[in-house]
Amino acid sequence: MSLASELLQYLLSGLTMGGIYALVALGFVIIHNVTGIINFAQGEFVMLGAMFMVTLVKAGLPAPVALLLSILLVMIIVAVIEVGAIRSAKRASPVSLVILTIGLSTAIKGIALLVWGTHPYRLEPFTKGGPINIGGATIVPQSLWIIGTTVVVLAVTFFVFEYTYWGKALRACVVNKFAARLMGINPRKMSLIAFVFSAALSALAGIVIAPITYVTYDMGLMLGLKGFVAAVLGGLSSTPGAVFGGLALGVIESMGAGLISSGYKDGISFVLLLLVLFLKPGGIFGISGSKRV
Amino acid sequence: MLKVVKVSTYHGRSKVLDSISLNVEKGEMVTIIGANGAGKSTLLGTIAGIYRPKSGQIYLGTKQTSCLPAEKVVPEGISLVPEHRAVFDSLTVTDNLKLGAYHRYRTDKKNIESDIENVLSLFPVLKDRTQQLAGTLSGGEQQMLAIGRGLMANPKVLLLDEPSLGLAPLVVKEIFEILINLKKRGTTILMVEQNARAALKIADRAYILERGTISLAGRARDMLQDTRVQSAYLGARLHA
Repeated sequence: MSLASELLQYLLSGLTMGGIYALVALGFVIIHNVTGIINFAQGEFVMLGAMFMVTLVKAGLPAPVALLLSILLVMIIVAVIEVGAIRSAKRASPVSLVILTIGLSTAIKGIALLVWGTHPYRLEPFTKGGPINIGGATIVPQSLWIIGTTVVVLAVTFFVFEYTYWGKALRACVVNKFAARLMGINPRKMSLIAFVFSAALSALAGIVIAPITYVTYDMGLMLGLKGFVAAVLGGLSSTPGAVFGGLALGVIESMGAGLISSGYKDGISFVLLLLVLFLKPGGIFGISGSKRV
Repeated sequence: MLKVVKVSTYHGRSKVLDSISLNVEKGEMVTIIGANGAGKSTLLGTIAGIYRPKSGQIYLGTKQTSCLPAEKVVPEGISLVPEHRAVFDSLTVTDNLKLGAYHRYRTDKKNIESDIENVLSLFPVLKDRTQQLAGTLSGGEQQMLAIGRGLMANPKVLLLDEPSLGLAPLVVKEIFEILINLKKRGTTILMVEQNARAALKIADRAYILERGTISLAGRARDMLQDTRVQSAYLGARLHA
């Protein structure tokens, strides 16, 4: 294998994982922008999406139905969590709420352990067929599904935020929560929408990645943390930044794993997080702070 | 139309408003003048539902609004144009205006577009900049946008908090001309203003707020002549 095709290989697998990170990061950013909370239970939403998908497919549902149903289930669960746990604690400081989400993450993981056990599950790829050869690099069809899903979801997200009325209301909340209330925009409703929307993104990420990794009750931790790193890379308040951060993290990780050692794969992303926080705490798309209220 | 009855508001444990009563009739322009820290903004904030009064009632028509949160007060017909304008600076002028009509988006969608046209005709400067981001406008333009955004809610009473704050004298003049225009169109306005002379000149009635209580109420024209008001708020010397 020549170096060029080797690099192409790393790039492709990097973009695959990067797409997943981008989806999770986008969830972080949306919730953070609207509510000021960093939701560390984000990774668990990914796990729940994947777990429901596996369970429903096993129960005999056709894949597209199972997919929609899984996303819907995660959205409902997150809505209940938002109303039950986050909203009732809304008077608490953002730091307490962040800690609360860590608690939620542990609780969800614990329940998942009881329901599904420690056993890893497998999900069949969405489409059959062997690896595809592109310029000396190989890519499994599921990777194309992941990249395709990411692109579609990002386009939909962009459309919602730019062109729909409640997307604009959501952005108004981000820009100036006080003025948004004066327009009659209910911040509680916006917080619920933000949570449910980002839950859907994360669940979808879990579902599309399930066929290329095993689905386990504790898969959410790493994916959540990587998504967080990606969000921080992008500045934590910028949606294009989150996408860029996700893809960049995926590619850097994959290059590092391929060229240095795969043992350092996770280490690389956390070193990256530290570097960004030391050198450019506003993120690479450094617009944070000034715009968030 | 708007009636405030014995309202007291606290910030934490300190009493900012002490049993304030006032009323604004339909089509009237009423101004509240007073020194820094007298509680003017708190009064408007209480009417708009940002602060909950500890005692007293606020009525709009026959409906009591004093226990509603800000986002529920807007649909009732009270719209506050906040101090320092608070426009959505990373959104376009059109989007800012659209969001002003948020509460009637579901019920009254058809009229929003024509209302935007209507508001823009009041502020010709904004007309050429509908696609510009609000944050890139000048201070005066942002103030106009904030007023326009407030009007988009179709309020029964428009509350204006310091519309001339931080603007150049020429721009202030322009803003006041717009306010006169609004008054002519029959908009009911309750306005807080530091620029007492200008405010008294255009208003019908005025209240003077001093350390959380109303010390004087009356016709704006009479206030301009009142020696106490002149010395305290209009900068006239008693022995000149």
